[in-house]
Amino acid sequence: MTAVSPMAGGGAGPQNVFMDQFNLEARTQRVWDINHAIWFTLMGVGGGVFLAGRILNLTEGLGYVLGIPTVDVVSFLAIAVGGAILVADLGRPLQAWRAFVNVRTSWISWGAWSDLIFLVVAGLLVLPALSLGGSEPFSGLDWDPHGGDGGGLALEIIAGVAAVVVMTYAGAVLARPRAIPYWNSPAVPLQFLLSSAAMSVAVVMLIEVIAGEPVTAGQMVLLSVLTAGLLVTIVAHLLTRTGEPGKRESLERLLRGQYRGLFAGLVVAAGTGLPLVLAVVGAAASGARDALAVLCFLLLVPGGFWLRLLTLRVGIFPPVHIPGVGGSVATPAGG
Amino acid sequence: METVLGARTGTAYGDGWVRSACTICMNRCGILAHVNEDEVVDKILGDPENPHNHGRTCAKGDAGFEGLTDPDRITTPLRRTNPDKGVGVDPGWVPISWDEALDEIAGHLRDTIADDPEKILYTSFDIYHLRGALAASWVTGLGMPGYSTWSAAIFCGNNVHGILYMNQNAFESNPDPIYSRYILNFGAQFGSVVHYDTMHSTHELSVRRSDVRMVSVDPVCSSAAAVADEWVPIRPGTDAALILGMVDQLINELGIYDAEFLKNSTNAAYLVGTDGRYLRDAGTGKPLVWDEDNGPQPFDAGTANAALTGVYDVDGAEARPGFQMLADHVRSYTPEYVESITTVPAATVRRLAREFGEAACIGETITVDGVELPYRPATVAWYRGLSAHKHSMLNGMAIILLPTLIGGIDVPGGLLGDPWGLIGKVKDLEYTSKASDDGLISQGFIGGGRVGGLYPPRPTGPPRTTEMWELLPCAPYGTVFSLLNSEQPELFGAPPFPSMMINFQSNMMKSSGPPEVVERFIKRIPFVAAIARRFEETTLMADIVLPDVHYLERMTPLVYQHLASGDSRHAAYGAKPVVQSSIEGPVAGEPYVDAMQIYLELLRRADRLPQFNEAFNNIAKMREPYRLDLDGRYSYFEICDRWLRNTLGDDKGLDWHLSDGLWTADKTVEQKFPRPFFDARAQVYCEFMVDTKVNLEHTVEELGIPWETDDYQPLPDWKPGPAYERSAPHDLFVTNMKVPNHALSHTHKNSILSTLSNRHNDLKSVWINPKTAEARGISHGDLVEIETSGGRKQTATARVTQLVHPEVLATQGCGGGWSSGSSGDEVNFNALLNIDVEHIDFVSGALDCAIAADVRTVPAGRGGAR
Amino acid sequence: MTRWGMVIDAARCVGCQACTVACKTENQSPLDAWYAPVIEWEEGEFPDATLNYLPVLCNHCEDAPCVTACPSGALTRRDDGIVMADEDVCIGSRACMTACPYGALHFFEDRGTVAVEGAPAEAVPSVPERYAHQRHVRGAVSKCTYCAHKIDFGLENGLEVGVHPLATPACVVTCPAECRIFGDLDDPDSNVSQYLAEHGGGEALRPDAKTLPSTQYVGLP
Ligand SMILES: Nc1nc2c(c(=O)[nH]1)N[C@H]1C(S)=C(S)[C@@H](COP(=O)(O)OP(=O)(O)OC[C@H]3O[C@@H](n4cnc5c(=O)[nH]c(N)nc54)[C@H](O)[C@@H]3O)O[C@H]1N2
Ligand SMILES: Nc1nc2c(c(=O)[nH]1)N[C@H]1C(S)=C(S)[C@@H](COP(=O)(O)OP(=O)(O)OC[C@H]3O[C@@H](n4cnc5c(=O)[nH]c(N)nc54)[C@H](O)[C@@H]3O)O[C@H]1N2
Ligand code: SF4
Ligand code: SF4
Ligand code: SF4
Ligand code: SF4
Ligand code: SF4
Ligand SMILES: [Mo]
Repeated sequence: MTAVSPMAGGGAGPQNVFMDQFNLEARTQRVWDINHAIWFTLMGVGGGVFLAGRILNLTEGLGYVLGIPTVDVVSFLAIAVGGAILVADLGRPLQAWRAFVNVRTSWISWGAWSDLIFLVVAGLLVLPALSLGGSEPFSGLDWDPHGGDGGGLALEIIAGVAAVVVMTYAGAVLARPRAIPYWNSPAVPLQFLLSSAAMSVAVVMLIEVIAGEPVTAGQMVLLSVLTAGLLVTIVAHLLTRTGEPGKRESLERLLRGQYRGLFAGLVVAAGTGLPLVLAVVGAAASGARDALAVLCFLLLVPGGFWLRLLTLRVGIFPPVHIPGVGGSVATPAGG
Repeated sequence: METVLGARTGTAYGDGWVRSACTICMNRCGILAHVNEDEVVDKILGDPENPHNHGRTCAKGDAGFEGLTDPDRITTPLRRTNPDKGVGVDPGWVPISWDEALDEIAGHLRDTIADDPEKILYTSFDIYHLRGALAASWVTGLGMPGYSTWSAAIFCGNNVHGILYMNQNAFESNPDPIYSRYILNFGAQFGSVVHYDTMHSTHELSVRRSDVRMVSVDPVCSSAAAVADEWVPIRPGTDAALILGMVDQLINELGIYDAEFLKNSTNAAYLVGTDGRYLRDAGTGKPLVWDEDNGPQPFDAGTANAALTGVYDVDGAEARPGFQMLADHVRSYTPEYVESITTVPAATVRRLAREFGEAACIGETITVDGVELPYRPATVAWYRGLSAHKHSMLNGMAIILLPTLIGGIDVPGGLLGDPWGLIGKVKDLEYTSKASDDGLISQGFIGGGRVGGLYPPRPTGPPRTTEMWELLPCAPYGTVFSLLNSEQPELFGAPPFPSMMINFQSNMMKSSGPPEVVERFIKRIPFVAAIARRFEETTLMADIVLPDVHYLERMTPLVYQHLASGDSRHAAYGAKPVVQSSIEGPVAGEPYVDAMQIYLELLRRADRLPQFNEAFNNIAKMREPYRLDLDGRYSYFEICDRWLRNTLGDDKGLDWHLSDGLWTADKTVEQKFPRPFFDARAQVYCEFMVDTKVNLEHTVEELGIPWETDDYQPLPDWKPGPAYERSAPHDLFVTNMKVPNHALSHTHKNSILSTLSNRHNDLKSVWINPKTAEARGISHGDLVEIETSGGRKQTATARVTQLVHPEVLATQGCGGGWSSGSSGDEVNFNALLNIDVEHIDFVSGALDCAIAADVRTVPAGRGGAR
Repeated sequence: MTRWGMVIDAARCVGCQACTVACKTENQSPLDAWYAPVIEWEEGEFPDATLNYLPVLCNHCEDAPCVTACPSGALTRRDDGIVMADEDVCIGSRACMTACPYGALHFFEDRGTVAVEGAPAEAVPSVPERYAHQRHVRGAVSKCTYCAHKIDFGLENGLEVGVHPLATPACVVTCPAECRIFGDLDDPDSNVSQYLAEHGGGEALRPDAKTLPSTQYVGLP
């Protein structure tokens, strides 16, 4: 094949001026892009901040908005905005409700339900605390918005489970089909989960700094564990199935091609490695924790966004046929 | 009215289908077109009952209905108000009435006929509709000797038709798709969906693809070469050397030829003297052959043992059979010499000759319908790649030797002919050709127009038109001389120039040569009328435009009459209105269904109906009671009715055409493979060329004009074309090829087809071999500029590909128009052509389409629009 | 059971793209959405180079990742194996497009163009597009249906599917090289099963995707 490889070209526009979809070359997916990266990020942060707030017991003391803990508000906002972007990006936004239909097999349906369940259940959970112009219209609801009692805890657990799904499902959507080998790996949802968690801890730390509360060594340890896990997952994903058609081209783009700088710089170094170092430092050195926390936030969130965007952008379908290799006999179950 | 619309049963999915014919390309496939509830045609299918295309259609045919709703359709007669004409000039159209338009054109016709009817130029590529009978009668009725298939005439079948008439009594020929086992494409795209007989042959070849070996000799891996088993790249314009090298191998090295056939069905045994002419019998004047037992005998004396080889003494004169002349003649074409000219390795030359010869199965027979016939399953296809060159006729004379040597003509596996000359005789087909006194096939009449054969050559004389027909005794067309005379009027003493032109279905501005050259030619014509469906590049040059119907609105009987030899069924059918045109036609109260209605109106208004009626009776071979009364005034529908009944039988008139319209019949074995059943002979040694040259030289000497006569020779040679000796920087050839999903310039504005070809970047690209690209610093996808040695330029996108000869820049299609709907950045190959003496073949009237050129990247900042 | 399937003998394909266009006109697909493209690629080095052709379309996968991914239920697999996209149900999430290994789904954007690689930004008005706006739902995904409307029409009217032109996919009907065969994969005597048997079975594109395609190939280069 002498035609220019799509890998050699730029990100936008046809890279092979001759045939694009009519040729036998690896095809870059261009269906999902920035909008998706944004909502993936927001969902990750949304689910994660709620979880982090609860696990780290930070619902109290970091301030309230209309009586509701700031961490929860940030979480709700992230998910609501993410959801809005998702709906707006649909070809037929008015039909968005149908996204809930196929829970049997579709991760997007799972995501839609988990977003909804999360918003409803977590919303219910904090509802008793809602204060509007001084009155608390739902204070009659008798559970603890901070999960301190049975009812509260139950809601908290349901919301928490939903939040985990919210943090992960975008990765699962990508990982399930075999169409794009780079995506078709548990490493992708794992990366998304770890990245979401790390971003969320950083967000929570930022809220702490703003609220004037101390960032703890434990939080820094947690962040270093999460970022270290993320780094390991990313590296592992880069080192496995490297010769596989499709994945090879994806790696080519990430490691040597047009995204090399963004990936190595923004995702790996600045977005994961550096926060890991900072978090380790922060765990040891108590004095600079606030500054380190803010830095981690500033590095991790863009890093998480670029991780998702680059994952989307290097999604490459291998050629539908590799001449001379074929040979496999189709085995339709029915016939 | 009801009947005009044809039989149609409803609009549910299974209903609403109307049988008609596709006329996008000359294959004229039978189709069924679907009309939906909104009276809109939304689907075309191949007619499954039609034996010609057996229910298949190509991409072009599938997309054909798109033109019905073309926003740029012309719906009313128009007059130009801007006296300026030219590319990019707004004609300032204003609508006028049919009466005004027709009267004005008829007035011009009258005046011109009174002066000299030959000064009417009717340009059309409608010959393939085989309404040739109608169209030819219209031009004959006006007093013209024929019409011009303008663009086609310049670089299409110039060396094809005459050669085929000479050796096969056919206008077109194709490899036998059923029995052939070895097919050599020489500059033709047989086997893919380009060329002729595409639907039928693609289907037949596909069925037995693994048993057939196809080889394409082509500078480019064309769509046909891609389908072939082997692509043999060749330097453009050098094929004759390769072919003669193969002939040398076959005769002199391998001894493979069909001696029986050569003796009995060709002039190969005719004795030739040292002056190049036949030795003739003193009494009868017949050419002599050398009988092994009885010495010299007239060729038709029933000699069983005519010698093909040897040198004989006939009454003191040295004589050789024509075959011996050929054998001696080709000896210099050694494989090594051929390699040096063509770049085809000597070993390949030898191998191709051997493969071809062995595949020919000389001596073998096959039984078809109980009759034993020669079986010659090796054959050739050639067309534009051999034809569009300087020395074109020599190429044709060379290539026909291959099937002739093996006796592979109109027998199973061989070259099958389509004798268009049989128009009007569908019911009683006769394939026998009139033999000349010398026993040779001599079919003087080709098609309906001003088209002539090779043999017998026409008499020469002072030219009566710019086409200089009278100085082209063996050519099928002279059109290119019109352009040459327009560019250099002094060259040949300014022969009479047209006073008016009527253009119909030929986009000569785009398909004939450099636009500015054609533009100058048309601008010189005092009055130009065009009949058109949409504003094409040529329509924009007219003074008056008349609207035409779309082919799916058309009623044209007998668009197709399958007369080709070969083991398939006969078919005859035509076009009928799938939907009724909403355009008002030339005849008040008559539905508008065909441009022929315009011609009848013009003939009437110019007082030429009797002449038309007479011509039609002759050309369509009308019998009583269908003949037209000379004084009668017939409607188009009446003429069609009579023509149909005359041709297909009394029960097959217009009603039948509109309700059914497909006639099929089995062929007899004589009709399938006629060659073994008639005596007229093909030619191996073209003796007539000797005297033709003498006569022609005499004529031009009297006229005092320069003329090239060197190529009038009885045996072919390879001679270098103008681009052969290239010099840097123009040391490449630029060539052109067709694509399967476009037909000429016709389909380039079909949005489906053009979107598809844009996806492939077909018409915008130039193919460059990686070596060539590297040497010139060109990368795949670069914007490049092609510049010919004549200084003509086109920009293109570089497709750096292994699929092209390193000395060649290949372009595709007939792109680069400027009328509405054009995509501006296509390559206009024709704009690179040279209309000059060096590039014109003076025997066939062909224009050389291998142009010396250079290619380089366009400096940054230029061509930013792309 | 019936399982409709198509066998494509790639060795016979002449690359004419009649299938591509016949599909477009039959289904009035949006102007730049090609349900049945013919892939081309070069092979070899001059002078031993050639161009290969590979006609593709939806594989009507038995284990169809597009159906699995679709949140709305717009994509379904009929009992006869045909994978259908219900454009009225589709929400335009394009999850299917990322899940299909073959690029067999086409998003009809509101602008009237389609989101395929390199689609021109400006819409070109055309007849098919005019139809497309009538036939297709903007913002939804459309795809090859194996011309289910023709098959259903054939079955309702007693026409032989895969033989009668009104009961056979348009791309099959038009193909001059007859390299496309359509029939019931579950019937061992059917045209498709017989052809596969004669050619030692079929091959799948992207076998690694393990989607169990109903579109199968013989003679793959
Ligand atoms: N670059 C390039 N040039 C070529 C060729 C090539 O391969 N490449 N091929 C050459 C050859 S072989 C030939 S034969 C010539 C042919 O050249 P032309 O005879 O000029 O054929 P087309 O270019 O198809 O132009 C036909 C015109 O008729 C119009 N038309 C089609 N149907 C109808 C109809 O029903 N009614 C009316 N009124 N008009 C109609 C079309 O829109 C188009 O404008 O071109 C030659 N020129
Ligand atoms: N799809 C489609 N089919 C058509 C037509 C169409 O427009 N489209 N037009 C019809 C018409 S009018 C005609 S005349 C026929 C013509 O059809 P063909 O003549 O069979 O095809 P072309 O592509 O015009 O030219 C033939 C080939 O010649 C090659 N060639 C160029 N120069 C040389 C040379 O010096 N030597 C050799 N060996 N090859 C050379 C070109 O690369 C090209 O592949 O097709 C008919 N069929
Ligand atoms: S364009 Fe295609 S369908 Fe129409 S006549 Fe030519 S080959 Fe047949
Ligand atoms: S080919 Fe793609 S669209 Fe077709 S069924 Fe399989 S996954 Fe779905
Ligand atoms: S785009 Fe439509 S068909 Fe595709 S997955 Fe989304 S809802 Fe389903
Ligand atoms: S089966 Fe029908 S819808 Fe599918 S590609 Fe063929 S023509 Fe198009
Ligand atoms: S119609 Fe047939 S021969 Fe032509 S490209 Fe399609 S599959 Fe190939
Ligand atoms: Mo032609």
